[in-house]
Amino acid sequence: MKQVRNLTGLFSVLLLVFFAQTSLAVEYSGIGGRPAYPQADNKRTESIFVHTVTPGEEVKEGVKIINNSGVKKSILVYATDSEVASGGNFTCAQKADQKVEAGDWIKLDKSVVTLESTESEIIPFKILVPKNASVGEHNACIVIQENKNTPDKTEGGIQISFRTGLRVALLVPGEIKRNLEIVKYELRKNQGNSVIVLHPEVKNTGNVSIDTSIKTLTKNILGQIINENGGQYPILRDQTSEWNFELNRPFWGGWYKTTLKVEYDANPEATVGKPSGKTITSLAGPVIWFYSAPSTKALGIEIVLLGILIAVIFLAIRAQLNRRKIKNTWVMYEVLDEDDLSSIAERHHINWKLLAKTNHLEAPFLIKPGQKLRVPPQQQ
Amino acid sequence: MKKNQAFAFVTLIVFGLTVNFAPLIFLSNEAQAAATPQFQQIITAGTLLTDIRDNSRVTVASPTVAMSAINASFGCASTTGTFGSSTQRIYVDNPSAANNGWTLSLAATGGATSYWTSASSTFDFNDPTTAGCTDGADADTLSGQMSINPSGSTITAEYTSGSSILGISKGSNSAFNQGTTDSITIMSAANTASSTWRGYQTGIGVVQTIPAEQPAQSYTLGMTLTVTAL
Repeated sequence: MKQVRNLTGLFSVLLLVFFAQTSLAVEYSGIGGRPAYPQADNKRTESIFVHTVTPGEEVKEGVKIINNSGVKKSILVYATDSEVASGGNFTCAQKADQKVEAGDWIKLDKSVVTLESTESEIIPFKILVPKNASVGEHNACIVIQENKNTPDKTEGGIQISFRTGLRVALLVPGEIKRNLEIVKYELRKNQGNSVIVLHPEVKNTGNVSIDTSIKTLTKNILGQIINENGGQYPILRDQTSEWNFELNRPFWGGWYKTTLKVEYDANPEATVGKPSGKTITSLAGPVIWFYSAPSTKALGIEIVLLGILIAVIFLAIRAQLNRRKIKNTWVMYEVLDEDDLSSIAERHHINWKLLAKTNHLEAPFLIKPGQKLRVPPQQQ
Repeated sequence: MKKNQAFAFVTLIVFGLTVNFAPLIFLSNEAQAAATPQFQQIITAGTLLTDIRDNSRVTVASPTVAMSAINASFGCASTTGTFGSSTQRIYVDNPSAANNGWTLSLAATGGATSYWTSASSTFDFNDPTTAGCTDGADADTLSGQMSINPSGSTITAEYTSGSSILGISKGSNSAFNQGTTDSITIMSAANTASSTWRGYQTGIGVVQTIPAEQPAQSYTLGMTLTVTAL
């Protein structure tokens, strides 16, 4: 019996150990990377590579490749040119694309790395800036991608691969121009009109990318803010960037006003991740008023409330008209010995309660002979 | 016997706690030497990534977007598909990795000169001439065009330390056009989007123009989803 108790005790402790282990299980993600040597004075360099370079200069850098997955992975690391995706957004060119810009300046020490689960490795690389590099910003990418066999092509359809790009922003100093223009701000309807899309477009007419604060603000007719959206986005040189911020159709509907504010550092001293510390330039987009129909539920509630309001108004008007009619047409009647309130009311074809109310009689509604009451005129 | 049992019990508990909590606590050498030990915990930023997972958040090994089947025709036609579904969700994880936003875009893996291929036939995905129905001035002799419409899609924030959609913008409906639009933005995020954000997108419309008299075969196109730290 004691042995059974001992075994039960041991089993309980093992269960405790097992469940404690389970509750602390690590959730794995995937592969990725980040700059190996971020600069202390530029927080952006924790996520991307930023350098001010001179033509002919050689910059030494490193990318830390991380395997956060639960299994051993073979990982491709390569440089590409940057590319402008639809909507003016930054992206990385494909590995198959020929490098003709800053992607070609980057020389990695390794192109494939194999990492065990949770392992990481720093891959050094050099940025060889050509002597004829033009003034302004040049962008490239360091791309991290799992080294996998090409999927089987017999299935058909679009076969999807994945990768992570880290932007490399290289600034060649000189005559730097930083200028933005608001191209448009408009509303678009979406998803069966259940969503309103706020669509700003801003053009960069300078020769460097500009970190731009885009803010949309939507208020109701009482001036209460119902939606704020936006944030800081880089707008690439010579590009027009666009955004689609969603605004759920307001429940009660009505008239609303939306505005666009664009702020950026126009001073040439500013670089990626490092503002100049001088005055910020602000641009305001057009003010847009729009009507939003109420939701189906709100419409039902509004119809019921409107019905009640109409009924109340109708009853009030009718009561007012009745009062005016009584005042203008009813005549004085002297109560006789045999009269009571109901007999007088019956004789004049009205409800006794109306008679009592008109003559300000209160319970128990007693009347005396000779008392004067206001009654409807006798019909001829 | 009872003392032995108690000793075994305490030993096992200490062992269990040590096994489970030791990986969480990094005790520096200085701290160990000090009279009053100090616990130090360093959590470094994770990595930005995109992939496709099912509704149990398990990565789909070889995700495919199936286009609707159509009959071979003498006229130009179109086929449709949906990129991102309840069982193939397009995920983005940003565990404090991109501190100034990111973009998610889609492009042909083989670059702008790629095309749909089958056992013996091909057609294009980025020729805008007559909306993809005839071959244009690009280097190949193929016609066909694909458009991607993220504007009607749904973004679901699964984990966010702030507002779920603040600073998140969907891409506009766009068509591939060789040399002009080689990548299409699916979604982008500003620095205001929570620095630790995990979410997924579903319901991106895909339309592909099929040239007239295209042979009836099963066609494949490789595409790459890129998430880029800005």
